[in-house]
Amino acid sequence: MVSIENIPVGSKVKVIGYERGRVRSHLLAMGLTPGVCFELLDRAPLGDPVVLRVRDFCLSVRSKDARALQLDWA
Amino acid sequence: MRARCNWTGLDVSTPLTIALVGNPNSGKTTLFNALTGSRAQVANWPGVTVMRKEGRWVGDGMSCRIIDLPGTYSLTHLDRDAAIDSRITADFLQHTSPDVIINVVDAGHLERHLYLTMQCVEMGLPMIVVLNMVDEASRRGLQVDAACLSTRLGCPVVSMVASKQQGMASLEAALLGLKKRMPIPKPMPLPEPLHEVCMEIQRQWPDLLKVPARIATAMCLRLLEGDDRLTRACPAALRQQLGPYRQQLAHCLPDEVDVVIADRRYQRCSELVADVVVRCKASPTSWTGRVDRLLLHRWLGVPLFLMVMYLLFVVTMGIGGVFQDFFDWGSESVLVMGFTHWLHLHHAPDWMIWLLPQGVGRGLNTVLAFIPVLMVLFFSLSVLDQSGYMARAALVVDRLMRHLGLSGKSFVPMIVGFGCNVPAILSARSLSRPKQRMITMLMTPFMSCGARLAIFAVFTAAFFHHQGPVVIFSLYLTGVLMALLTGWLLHRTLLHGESESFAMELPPYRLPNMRRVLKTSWWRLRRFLWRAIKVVVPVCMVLSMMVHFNWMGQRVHHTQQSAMGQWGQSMTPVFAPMGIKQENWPATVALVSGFMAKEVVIGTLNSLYDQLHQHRLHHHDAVHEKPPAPLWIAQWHAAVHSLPHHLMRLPHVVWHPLSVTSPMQQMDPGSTKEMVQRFGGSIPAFAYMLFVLLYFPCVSTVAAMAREMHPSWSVFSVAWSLGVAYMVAVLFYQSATFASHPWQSISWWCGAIAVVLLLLWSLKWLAKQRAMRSEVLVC
Repeated sequence: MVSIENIPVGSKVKVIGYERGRVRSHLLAMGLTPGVCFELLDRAPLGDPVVLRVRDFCLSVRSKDARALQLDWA
Repeated sequence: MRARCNWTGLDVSTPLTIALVGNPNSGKTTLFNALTGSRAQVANWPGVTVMRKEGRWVGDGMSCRIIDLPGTYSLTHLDRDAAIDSRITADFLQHTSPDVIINVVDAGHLERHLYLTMQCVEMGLPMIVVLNMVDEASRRGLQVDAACLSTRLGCPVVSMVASKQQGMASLEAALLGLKKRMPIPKPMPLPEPLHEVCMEIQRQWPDLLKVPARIATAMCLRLLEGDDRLTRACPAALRQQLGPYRQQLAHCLPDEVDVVIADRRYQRCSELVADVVVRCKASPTSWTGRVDRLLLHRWLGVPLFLMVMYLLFVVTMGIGGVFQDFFDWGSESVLVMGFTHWLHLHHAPDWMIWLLPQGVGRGLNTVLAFIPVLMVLFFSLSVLDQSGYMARAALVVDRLMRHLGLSGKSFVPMIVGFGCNVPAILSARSLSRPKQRMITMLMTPFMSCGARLAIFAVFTAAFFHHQGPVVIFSLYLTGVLMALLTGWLLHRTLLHGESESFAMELPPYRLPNMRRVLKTSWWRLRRFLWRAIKVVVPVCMVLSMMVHFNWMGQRVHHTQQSAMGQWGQSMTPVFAPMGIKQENWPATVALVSGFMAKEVVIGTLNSLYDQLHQHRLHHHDAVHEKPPAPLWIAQWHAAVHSLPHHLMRLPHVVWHPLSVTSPMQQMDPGSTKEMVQRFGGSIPAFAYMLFVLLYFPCVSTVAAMAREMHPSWSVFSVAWSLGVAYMVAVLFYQSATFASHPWQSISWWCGAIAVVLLLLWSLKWLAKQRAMRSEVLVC
C-alpha cells in the first residue's frame, strides 16, 4: 500500500481497490478501475493537484480525491 | 466473439433526430459545424443557461435534425451539483430519445472515449460511431481498424478528420444507410447476479421512471451506480430497496457494484482496443510533455501563469481599447447626436428627443461600446481554451482557490474583471458547477474595472497629488479583499457545498483552429449584445427622462430642478455618515447616473459642478443649455481619428495596461475647484471613492448576471454590494474623523458590528433551511 502523496514523479503505481464510502464515480469514469496502472507525470507548482497518465491520456486529480484509491507499486 | 446486431427498419419520411454525443474535446462541435454548415441555429436549453445547438443535414431524400449535446465523460452523475451541461446529455438521451446517436470518439484516446460509447450502447438506440482525429492518432503511431470495430460493436464506424472535413462522404453514406436499416448495437453481457437484480427491479416496477422498456436495464444500472437525479425521480419504495440490493450484490460480486459496473465497461473497452488498435511504431515523445514540464514547473509555473494572465489582460484592453473609442464615439455620433440633429430638423417635440436618441440611442451606444473589448476577450479566451493552456492554468491556482470552494478555473473571470466586469461574468460560463459559477460571479463586481479607474484618476488628481498611486493601489486591494470576503462568506453559508471533487483531462497542446475560434467568439458576442440591449435600453430611457423632466412631467432647464436632481438632493442625507454634505448633492446624482455605466460618473460630475460654478460666478437664475449644434459630424471624425491615435499608443500599453482606460474626459478647472470645495477635504473624497469602487458595477454587468444566473441572485448581488459599499465607506469616514466626534463614530462601529453579526446569523439560518429542503438550486 502506498499513498498518493508519497509517490515520486515519474513512477508507476497500480490501483488495487477503493476505500469504502469515498467519492469515486468521476475517478471510475475516467478509467481508474481496479487493476489499472498509471504513471505520476507531474505535480502542480503548489504541490497539488497531481497529473497522471492512465489509459493513454493525462488526467489531473486532487490528492484529496485520489486518497479514495488504494494503490500499490506496479 | 462476434457481436450480433439487431437491424430494425424505421420510417424515415419524417426528419430523424440525431444526437451528437461525445467526451469534451472530442471534436463534436467541429463535426456539427461540418455537417450542418451555416444552417446551424442556436437554441437555449429549457430551464438552464447552457446552450444546445441544433442544425439540419439534408441528404439524398433524407432530412435530419442534428443536435449537438454538451460533452460529457459519463452518463451517470452521483453528485447533485454535477455540471449542468453534462447532465443535459443524460437527460436528453433518457427523455427525448433521439432516433439515432452519433457517438464521436477520439481515435488517439480510444480506450477512454469508448467508455461513454459503452454507456450509449446500453441505451439501446441506433448508433453511428465517428472515429475522429485519425490523423493525430497516426502521427502518434496508432492505426485503428474501423471495419473491425464496426463488426465488434455492431454499428457503422466512420474514420474522420472533422476539422479538415476528411471522411465526410463516408459519414454521409452511413447516414443515408439509415434509410434501409437502423443499426442497434447489442449491449455487453452483465455478470449474472447483476443481471438478475436488474431483472427483478424491472419486474417489480414495470413502469419504472416511465422510460421505454429498451432502456430499463440502463436505468437500473445507473440507479445501482447511484445516479442522483434518477434516484430522486424513482418511487420511494424502490429508493429504499436500493441499499439492500447493493449489499446483496456486494456479497456475490468481487467489489462494490459501482466499481464492478465501471470495471466491466472498461474491460470491454480494453478488449476492443486490443483488437482494433495497432501500434505501428513507438509513439514519438510528445512535445506536450516537455511544454508541461516547463509550464507546471515547481518554481516557474506560477510566474508563467501570472504572465499569461497579464498578457490576456493587456491584449484585451490594448487591442480592444484601440477600437473602443471608435465604437463608442462612432455609435454616439450617429445614434445619439446625429439622430438628435435629425429630429431637430424635423421639429420633433422635446420628449421625443429625450426618449429616442437620448434614451434608446444612448442605451445602444452604451452596449455597442463593449463590442471590441468583448470580441478580443472572447477570442483570446477561446484561443487559450483550444490550445490547452486553460486546463493547465486551472491546475496551477487550484490549490489557492479551493479555500473559497472554487477551483482553479475561477481565476480567469477575476483577472478579466479588472478590465471590465461584463466579459468577466460571461467568462464564468466555462466553470462547470452552478455553485462555483455563482460564487465567482458574485465576487467579480468587486474587481475594480477600467471605468472605475477613470474616476479614481480624476479624484486622485484633485485630492491626492503625490500619493496617487498608493491611493489607487489601496482601492484595488480593498476591492480584492471584499471579493475574497464575499466568496469566503458565501462558501461558508448559502452556497456551501462539499469541496468539489475534480478529475480533469489535460488535453494535449493543439494549434487553435482560427475559424472555430472566430465562430465561437462571434456567437458568444451576439448572444451578449442581444441580452444586454434588452436591459440597458429601457434603463437609459428612464434615466434620460429623469434628467430632463421634473416629477410633474414638466421640462426643466437646470438639472437641480429635474427629477434626478431632486431625488439626488433628497437622497444626500443618506450619505451624510460618509462625509457627503447636503451642498455636495451632485456627488449623489453622479452615483445614480453611475448605475448606467461608470464612464458616466465623471461626465455627470463635470456638468453639474460646472453649472454650479457658472451660477456662482454670474448669479444667473438658470443656465440655459447650449442649442444643439450639428456636432455629430465632428464626433464621427473624432471616432475615425481615434483609430490611428490608439494604434500608435499600442506599444506603450504593453507596459502600462491600465493607461488604456485613463480618463478621456478630464474635468474642467472650474468644475474641479467647485468639487474640491464641496467635498471639503480628502477624507470624504476617499470615502466616496470607496463607495464608487464597491457599490454597483453597472447596468450591463447586472444584465449579464441576470442572464447567467437566476435573477434573484443578481438582486442579491446588487443589495450585497450596496451594503458592503455603504458600510466600508461609512466606517472609513467615521474612523478617519474619530477625533471630532468620538461618540458618533463608536456608535457607527457598534451598529456595523451588530449588522454583520445579524447578517452572519441569518445567512447561516438560510443555509440551514436550504439544506433541510435539499432542493436543487436552479440557476
